Amino acid sequence: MLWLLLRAFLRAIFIVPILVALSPTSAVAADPALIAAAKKEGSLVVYGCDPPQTPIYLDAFKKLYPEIKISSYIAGCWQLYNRHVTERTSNKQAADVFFSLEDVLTKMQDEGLLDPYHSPELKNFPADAAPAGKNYQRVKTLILGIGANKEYLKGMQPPQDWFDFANPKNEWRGQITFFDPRLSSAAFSLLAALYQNFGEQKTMAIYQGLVKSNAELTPTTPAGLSKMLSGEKPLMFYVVNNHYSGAVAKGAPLQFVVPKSGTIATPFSISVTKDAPHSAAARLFVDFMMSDVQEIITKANEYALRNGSAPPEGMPNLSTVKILPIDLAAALKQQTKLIEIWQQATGIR
Amino acid sequence: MTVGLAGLSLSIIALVIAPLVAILYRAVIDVGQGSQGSLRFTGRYISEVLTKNIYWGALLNTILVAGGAAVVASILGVVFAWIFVRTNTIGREVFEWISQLPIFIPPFVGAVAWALLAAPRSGIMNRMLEGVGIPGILDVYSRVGMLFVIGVYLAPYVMMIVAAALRSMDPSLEEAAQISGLTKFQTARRITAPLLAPAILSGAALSFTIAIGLFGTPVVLGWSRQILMLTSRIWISSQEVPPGYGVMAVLATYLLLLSSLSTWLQRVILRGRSYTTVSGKGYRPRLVELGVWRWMTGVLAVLYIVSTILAPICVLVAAAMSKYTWSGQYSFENARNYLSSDDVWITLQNSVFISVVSTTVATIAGILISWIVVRTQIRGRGTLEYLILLPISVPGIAFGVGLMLVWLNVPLPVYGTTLIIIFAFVGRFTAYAVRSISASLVQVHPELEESARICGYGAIRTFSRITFPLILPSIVAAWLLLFSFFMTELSMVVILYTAENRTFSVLAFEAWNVGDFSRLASFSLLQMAVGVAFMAVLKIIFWKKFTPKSLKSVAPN
Repeated sequence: MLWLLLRAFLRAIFIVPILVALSPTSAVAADPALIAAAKKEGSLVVYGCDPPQTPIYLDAFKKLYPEIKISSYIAGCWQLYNRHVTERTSNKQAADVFFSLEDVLTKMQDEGLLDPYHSPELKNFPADAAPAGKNYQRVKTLILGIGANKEYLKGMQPPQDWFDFANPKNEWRGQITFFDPRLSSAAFSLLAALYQNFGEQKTMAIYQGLVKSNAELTPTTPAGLSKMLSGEKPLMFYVVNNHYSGAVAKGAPLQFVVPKSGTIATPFSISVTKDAPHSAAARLFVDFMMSDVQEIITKANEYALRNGSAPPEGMPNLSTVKILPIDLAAALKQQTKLIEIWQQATGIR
Repeated sequence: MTVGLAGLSLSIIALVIAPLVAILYRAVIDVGQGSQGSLRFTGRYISEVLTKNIYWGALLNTILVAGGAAVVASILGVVFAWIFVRTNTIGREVFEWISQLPIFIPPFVGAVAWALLAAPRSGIMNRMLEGVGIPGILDVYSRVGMLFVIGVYLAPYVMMIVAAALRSMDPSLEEAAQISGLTKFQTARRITAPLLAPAILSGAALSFTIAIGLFGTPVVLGWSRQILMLTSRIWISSQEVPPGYGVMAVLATYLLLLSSLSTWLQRVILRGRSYTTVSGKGYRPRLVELGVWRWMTGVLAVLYIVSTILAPICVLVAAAMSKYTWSGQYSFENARNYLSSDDVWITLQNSVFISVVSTTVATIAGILISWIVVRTQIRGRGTLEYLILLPISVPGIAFGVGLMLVWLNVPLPVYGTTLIIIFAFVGRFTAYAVRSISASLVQVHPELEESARICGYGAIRTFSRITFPLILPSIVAAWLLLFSFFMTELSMVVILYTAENRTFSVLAFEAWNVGDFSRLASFSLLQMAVGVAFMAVLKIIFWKKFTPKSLKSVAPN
């Protein structure tokens, strides 16, 4: 009996804390002073461009801190930026927190629109979750892959690399959708990565090949996903892993091809805004996203970044995926040139 | 009276003129960055739009697609309004109900449903054609496909306006024509149609104006082949960083000019004629007896309803029951799961509240403005009508941005609240109530009101006891029209909403935004069910008002 008690005691003081520390989903109690300050503020405004998941994170936060009234604006990443800048200019800043892809946050960083808050939870993340010199931190990441609907391939071999699109097979003619970098952050990031890693000529050849294969431009990536699911266009120039996983979870016979030359990772990051009207609530929310939300991300079959997080079901471990480096700051400076290259290659104005 | 007019003027300045000015002046003014931004005149946006082929192409596409859609909507709307209201067609009441269903589905959802029906490769209709050995020739991603889809979506609006006018019309002229030897169809063509000219033109102008301002449908259907309309170009400019307000403003001016042109044409055609058909003389409305043709018109109605209304709705039902389009596995459980979250019901309540309040305010404003324009000699009433009609041709995105820019700079707690969405709805859409109600008011002869005044009635009593009951069908039609707009409006709300005042359309848009068409279909069907419930309630309440006893008694069987 005594031995049993002793063993339980030892487990309590040694094993449980170790398990908690190692667990990718562990929720660490936030600083009580911060919680008190956040509750005193009583409100929080989140701007996010992750429509499927952000409301789930907000609901979980609401359950944990019912005293804090949450309001949100969910739209395209650049739309959020435009709205925030307009509000600041009119001295009516609403946003406390920005949850966005990093092209927007990079621009906001350059314009001094982010608060230099770093969550204490970062100790549980890989070092690159807090990019040097940036005020934002990475919560989760998305990767792009070539998409195919196996049900409608009918023996057709889908492209295995970006450069396969430069020399398209006849059987792909009229079967592919691709996306507009003027409207989509992911499309722009891919264009920039291809340009920075492989040069202008090879990048242009890929987009020219898409036009040659009579690929169809869709206004958004999900519009392309719908066409892939219905079989109207069974190939996608790229599909984002969260869209892919969502469809596969429902039983869709999709294929996610990681391009041989490498793909891009587009992290979703979070930051407290400069002059946030509810700065304590904003910090508490950032801590929450870096702790409790990691479990929600994993359950949603996405890539959580907290140490030890499992990859989404059916997807490769991130460490095994060749990720193309991308300098977003440089890409944003070259935005006009990159779009012109794309327009020249595709003939789309 | 003076205080009321001052209040009305102030409201129009705040809700209509200010947002328009806020966006349109950017066509010629460059605004510097930051709070101390300088203002200077510029011609570069006008020059850019006038010298680039892409904008001329967008203008041409807009005229072709919107003009074609208005023709399709007008033909369908007028023919079926006549069949449903003035003939003894078999099952006409049920058909009329069903034919109004599409107005409660957001246009972009309808476009997605049509894409599933008539896409070149995967469209169900094309597959069915191929199944019986006919090549699948339907192509929804073409100009013809676009104008057809938009036309079919707009037909119920024309139908509602024309049906309301038909119900308010004295059919003694038709009876006289038939006594004089005209056949029933000659009577319809030579007497009824000309008498309905104000309503038909009003419906055609309305559908053209809605079509040029539509955003979702042209993007969903036209993007793949780059058939871009002006609104698609406005959307591209709105996505730029910083937003291309200058180009947006010039393109919005194009739309204003197109809308003004359609209103001007409508006036020119109607000028110098009298359309008063409701006078002090008693009349006995009568249905047109079609004899054996009542079955033929019934079949025609069934064909129309099945091919253009029930087919897209069935696609939505199938999509809602499917795990994804097309999984091949269907279950009601799937749709029920999508609708079981609190978020859905809270957002629906919010949407209904905003829509009912906005609709009621806009309808009351519409009655007031119509009465001023049609019945008074107040100076500036023409300007008042022109100003109130202006915003309907400005795309929602541009009007929403204008409203946002105004209320961000007004020191009142409106921005970020439900109030700003109500303001946006009332400011942009009161014009529809004015068009519908004034078209009906112009048919009521002033001698009825004059008689009431001679009998000692005051102005308000005359209106409430004489004019109001006579134009009630139009008022109810206007209310329903606005309610359908507000329940499905997206382009303005998407700019102005926050989590607290999110509407159901935004929820549906978020589903579309992640490619979840099954969820989107479930939401849209719920939205339609709410619309139908409101329509049913109105029908029950106003049934007697809509259907004079004499009309019922002459109906056969």
